[in-house]
Amino acid sequence: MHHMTEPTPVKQAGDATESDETLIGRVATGDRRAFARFMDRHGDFIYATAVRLTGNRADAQDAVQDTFLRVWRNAGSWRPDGGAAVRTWLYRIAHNVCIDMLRKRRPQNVLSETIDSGVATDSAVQEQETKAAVTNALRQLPERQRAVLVLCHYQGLSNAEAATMIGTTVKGVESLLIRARRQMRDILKPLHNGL
Amino acid sequence: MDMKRFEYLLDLHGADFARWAPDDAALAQILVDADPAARALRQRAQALDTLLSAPEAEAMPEALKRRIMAALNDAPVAARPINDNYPARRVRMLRALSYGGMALAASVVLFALAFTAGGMNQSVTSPGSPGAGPQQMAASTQVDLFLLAMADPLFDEAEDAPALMPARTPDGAVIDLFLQSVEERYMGMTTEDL
Repeated sequence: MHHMTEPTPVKQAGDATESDETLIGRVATGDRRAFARFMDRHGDFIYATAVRLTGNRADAQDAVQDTFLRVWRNAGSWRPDGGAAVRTWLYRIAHNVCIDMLRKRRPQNVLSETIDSGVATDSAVQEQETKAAVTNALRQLPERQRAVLVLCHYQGLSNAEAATMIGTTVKGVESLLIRARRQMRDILKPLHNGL
Repeated sequence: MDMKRFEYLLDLHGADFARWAPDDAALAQILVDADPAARALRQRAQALDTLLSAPEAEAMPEALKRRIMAALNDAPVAARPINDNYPARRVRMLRALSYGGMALAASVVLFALAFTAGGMNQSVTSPGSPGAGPQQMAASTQVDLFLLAMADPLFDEAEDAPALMPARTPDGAVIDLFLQSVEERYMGMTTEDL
């Protein structure tokens, strides 16, 4: 049976500064309000990452739901001493969920939809096509290249943070980033003369 | 700063020098001011930056939050461990192996050279697991790491990578440096990452 514990009294004044560690400790006791706050704090980051990793909103929403439910079920397994930072731990869960999802759905091939989408005269249509092409190009990158590009370029993390999150070194992240940018350039060349 | 290094850093950081290390940015600016080819490379990188910024970030939909909160009823809290420290454990294990002795390192180099001379397979497989087949496996042994380094055209571009040739000599210190660099760069990667 799941814990139906009612939320503990909330510290109204201290909410904004309540640490992730404190929140996750309360989540481990079944505190739904702490869970909601944790999700509010990290949801946008995880959702944006999932959209870029999976390439579509439907998969991203499933992945984000799976991620946060895993957090709910497993909050008690996170240890503050010597363990990963909460955000790192959360991202690793999200990353693994997204990658598992992509592997199950790998036969999809959406490249032709974007590159061969015809000549757009309307700038809004062209912009949408560009977005779709970039999203599809991202999907074609190997998993870890995609992950570091999303984390470092889109989410603005440092290489060191990204290295911790995907379980590699800073040099490994640099190497993956360079490959990712070069591959994106190759894929997107048909769209842009300047590449 | 030469053009090769400039292009390497453009691919690493993008065209915005504000994202570069200050010293590199200063040298790059001098190069761009003086060399039209450098300016062209930077413009190409800017074009890619612009394209990459196309899909803007989206906020998590409130409906999704509500869906997750509703799903908590079916998701009991349980302190089941998540194996999130797996990579770190592997790094520690490899470290213990890496510096086990010069003889081992030298034999790994010879093995890797012999393997490369015979043609690099597109998959990295762990030695001792002949039935592993062609599936991608993360590099975890010294042989895996050497093979990845040798298969990687980018390895020579990295300014801080020790030269490969001296590592092939029986000079233990140089080999250790090489091992360390290769380990840092390729731990956990597969040929799919190259």
